[in-house]
Amino acid sequence: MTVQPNDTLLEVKDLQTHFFMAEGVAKAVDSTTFSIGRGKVLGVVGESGCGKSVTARSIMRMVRPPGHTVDGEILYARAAETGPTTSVDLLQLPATGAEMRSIRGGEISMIFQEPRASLSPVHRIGDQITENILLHQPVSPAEAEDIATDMLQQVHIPLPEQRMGAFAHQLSGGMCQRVMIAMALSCHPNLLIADEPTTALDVTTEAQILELMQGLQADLNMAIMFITHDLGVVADMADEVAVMYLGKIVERGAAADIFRDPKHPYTIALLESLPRMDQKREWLQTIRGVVPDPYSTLSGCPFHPRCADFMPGVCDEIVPQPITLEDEREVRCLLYTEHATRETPPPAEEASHQ
Amino acid sequence: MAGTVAGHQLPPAAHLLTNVMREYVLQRVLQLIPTLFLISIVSFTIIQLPPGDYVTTYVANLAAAGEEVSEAEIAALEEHYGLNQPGYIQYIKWITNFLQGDMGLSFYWDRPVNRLIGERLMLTMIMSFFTLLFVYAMAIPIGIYSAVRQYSPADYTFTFIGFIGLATPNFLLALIFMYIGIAFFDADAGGLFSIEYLDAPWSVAKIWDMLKHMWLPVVIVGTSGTAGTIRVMRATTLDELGRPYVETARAKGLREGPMTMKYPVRVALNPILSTIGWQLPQIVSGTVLVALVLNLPTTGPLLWRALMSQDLYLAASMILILSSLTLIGTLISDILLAWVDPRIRYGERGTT
Repeated sequence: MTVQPNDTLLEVKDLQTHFFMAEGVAKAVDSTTFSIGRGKVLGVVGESGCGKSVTARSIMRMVRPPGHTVDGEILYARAAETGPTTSVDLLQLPATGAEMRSIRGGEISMIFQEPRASLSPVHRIGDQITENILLHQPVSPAEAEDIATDMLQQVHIPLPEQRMGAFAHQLSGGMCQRVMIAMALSCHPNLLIADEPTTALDVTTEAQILELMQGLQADLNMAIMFITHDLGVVADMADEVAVMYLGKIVERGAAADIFRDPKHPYTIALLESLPRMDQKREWLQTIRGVVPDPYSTLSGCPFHPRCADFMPGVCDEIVPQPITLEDEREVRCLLYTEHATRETPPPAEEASHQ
Repeated sequence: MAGTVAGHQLPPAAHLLTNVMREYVLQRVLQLIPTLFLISIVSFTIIQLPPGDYVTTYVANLAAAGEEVSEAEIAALEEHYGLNQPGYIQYIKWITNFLQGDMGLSFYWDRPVNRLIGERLMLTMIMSFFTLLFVYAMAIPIGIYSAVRQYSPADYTFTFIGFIGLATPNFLLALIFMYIGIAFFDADAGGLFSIEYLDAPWSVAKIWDMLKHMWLPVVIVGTSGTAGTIRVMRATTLDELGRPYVETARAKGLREGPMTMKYPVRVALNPILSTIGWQLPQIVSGTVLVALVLNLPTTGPLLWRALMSQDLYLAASMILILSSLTLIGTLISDILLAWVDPRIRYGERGTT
């Protein structure tokens, strides 16, 4: 762990969220373990369908049928009004019970990918923000409205008093995401889960939203779980990065270390597929193949059909377990186990050996 | 200008909006006048298009019964009804009187059209109001429940019943209900009043008697509407339940039930609310068959009879009323839609 245990805000252990479909069971999240420190930013990176969003919804206890969180622990360090912080396993709370509902939206809140569609088309944005405040804070409607206006000011929305009466369709996508952020932060949550918050926005707006989130994160000392498919987006923001593939975290560590020296072949491939200004390349690197069918049961490492360092007879037979390397780096890859050293030389010469 | 109105309770945009709305409504009402004028011409012409007129039909009926009618008598009849004048003169006379509230004389009934339509129109509207109430009271909760508990046994049951209701013709349902009522409950199915109240003046007892008779036609006429509305409500609610704003609302920590009513159901109700106006013309014309089977004193059978006997002024007046209701209904729908769904407020512009 890069954070001290007593500074850990959220600890997810062996989370298993599966979707029970007619075609079979899709293990959207399959024994995922990670933690987020108080006031830290965790970037969760992976391709579409790797389980990032389902992990987020599992924490919020908002997974809808046919999805079910079947196993694991989500330990949330809940600060009591007085006295010490207690650790609550969110999976032990009834998903629609009073305690979970007071955490959801009040202490852990979430913003989404499609900002305009995420706001109600028929309610004024002011009403939508004040609703959240009234739900979690003991204030009068008038006070809630003042807080809401103040929040709109904080997310740099011009003329906040007037925007309170606007509808979502009257605002641009970037403005809608600012409203969503204002709504999510209106109760000063300990953790903000941002599920691809800038994916639907153009790059200029994306940069503004990221800058805004960084600023607010520092001001409010709140932790962020930033979900994205774009490693470049989390490069500036994240303290820690977790790379997900097919429901499992394949590499986890300090952001700087991962960008400097990626260990897992999937992380390496992801980084190589980023367009870079300082290198002249004819073609943009891509990762060969596609994400396998979620119902398929691949033997061995789930990444082996697409892996550049595939070791026949090893990777397609043994399921890799997380291993901790130097710098508290955690990697799920057989290249860093005794299987690799016994049968093949270090990864660099692996290809010529075959 | 917008900034001068202070306070959060009433954002400046709201003032602008109501002005835009008022202008829009006024404009639409003014547009109704020429449209209605054209419709009155068209409906009058259509009634006159078939060969012959009321007198021809009348004479033919008498001839079929074996009675002779002399040329002089026919001429006298045509003179009496004003049918010997050119069509446009008849129209101008009729429409001028119509605007003053006189819809002319029904040849068949030999009574003023006003008196003929008046009571029936009121009864029809009362019945249609209850039918509409019945349809919405049944269909909206069931539709919501079916959507929220999709693929549950209850959903399948309602869907099954709904399709049967949709597939059964109303007149057949009327016959079945009449048979059940007479055979098992000794009820006097048919009609809206008991015999002793038929020609009695209006009183509390008569209204009570009417309500006791009315539930049966209301259920019969409302069944297919209920079945259809359940399908619409279920589909739109399902559609809205999957939208991202529902997830946002859920992420706030709202209770699931109130959240469902406040967000997805509120949006899913828009198409239902905004099509209330379209029911207006159906209220008058939609129940002809059931009304004939159940012997209801509503407007449906009256229009049917008027068209059969080429009863010029009665048919034209009723068609003009129907058309007006269609236009007014559409206008009400448009205004309602703008009122319930801010995305469709007319003439409003985005602020960014």
